[in-house]
Amino acid sequence: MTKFLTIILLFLSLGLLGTGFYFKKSSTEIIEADLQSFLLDEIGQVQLQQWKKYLNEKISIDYKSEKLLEIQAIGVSYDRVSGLIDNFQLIKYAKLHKLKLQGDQDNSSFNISAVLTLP
Amino acid sequence: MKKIFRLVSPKILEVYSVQRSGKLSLLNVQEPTPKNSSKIRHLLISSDYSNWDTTQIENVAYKPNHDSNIFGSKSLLRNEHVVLTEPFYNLNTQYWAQAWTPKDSLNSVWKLTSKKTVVFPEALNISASDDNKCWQSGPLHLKYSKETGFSSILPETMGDQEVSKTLEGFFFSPNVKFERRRSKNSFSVALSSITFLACATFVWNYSLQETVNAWLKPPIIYENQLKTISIFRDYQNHISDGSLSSVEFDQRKGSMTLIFVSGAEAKSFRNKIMQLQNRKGAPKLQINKDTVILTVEVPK
Repeated sequence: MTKFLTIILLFLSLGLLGTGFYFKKSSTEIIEADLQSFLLDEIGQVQLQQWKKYLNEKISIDYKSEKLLEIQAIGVSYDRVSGLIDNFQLIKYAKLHKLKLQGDQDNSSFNISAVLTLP
Repeated sequence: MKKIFRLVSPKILEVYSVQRSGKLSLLNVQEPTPKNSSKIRHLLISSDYSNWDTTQIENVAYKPNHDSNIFGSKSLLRNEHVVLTEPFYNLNTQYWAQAWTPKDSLNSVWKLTSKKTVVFPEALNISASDDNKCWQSGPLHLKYSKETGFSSILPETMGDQEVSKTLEGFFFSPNVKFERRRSKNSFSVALSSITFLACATFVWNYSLQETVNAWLKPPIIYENQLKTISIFRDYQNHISDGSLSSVEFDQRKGSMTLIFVSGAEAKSFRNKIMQLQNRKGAPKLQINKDTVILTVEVPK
């Protein structure tokens, strides 16, 4: 009986370890596949580099408050405007409140700003 | 002076005081109860509960292991059903001695006492001042032998010898004892349980907590599709090239604000879209100088 219990416990331990590694691997894969996973991390969600990577545009961030920020992209060329607007609309883990497009006729470009609330 | 108990039979428990010399003095006789037995630290058990043997081994280099059963061939019980004392060597007599008892028998004693109780088989721990003193130990009469340094069973042929009913006046020297040992099996169960707990803790901290939290509290997913962008697409054909300065989409208000380069351009735009404004569900139109605001109803 004790031998049986010992074997069961050891198998359960192995099973647990396997499950743990499996969960870690799959959650890592999910995180790596999700371009917006940085928004679920309190540090990552305010990092300029993370936003630049996601929006694929040169931007600046104006931190209005702890959870409210305004992202500004200056001099966005005409052919990139649509993609940038789509990226703002596809944000999953933050609330988009305002999106403003301002034409810059001299430079034939747009200045785009978006106001967002973080989770 | 310390106390030592002697379990004579399941119904008789004697209490002795032990002097510095080891001499025993009977204090009282009780019936063993859970209350008085739980305090016992040292317990002598009569021959009713244990067997023993002694032998002289000529090879002085002989050193048995602590768990050796040096009288295994004399026992009818199987090794796994027996509890052994460590083999004890009497330096004075050069005799080896060992006691053994059926597991069930010793368990019945330990069930009565506490886990800390050390049990001494009296045949190997009681001595007398002379060879003629005998005592009643369970169903047997025992006699201390100076030759071996241990006790032996008094042959029935010597039935005329005076036999003491108690151990009053005898000497106690703690040579051989039964100690409660954890079995290898329970050790392996304990070890595997610890391994299991360690694995569970590691896995919880490593990944499971994160997974469970994500499952219990999934992140809120926002729908950020701009509600007024479709309106902009409908109206953008009516905006002259270079007339629009900026456009702002406000999700909260459900509005789209178009700012033209001049008031005239704004008015021109308004005039162009007047026809569209007659449609059902058309956005509410406001104009203020160079600014045109189109607002749709936002579902709450």
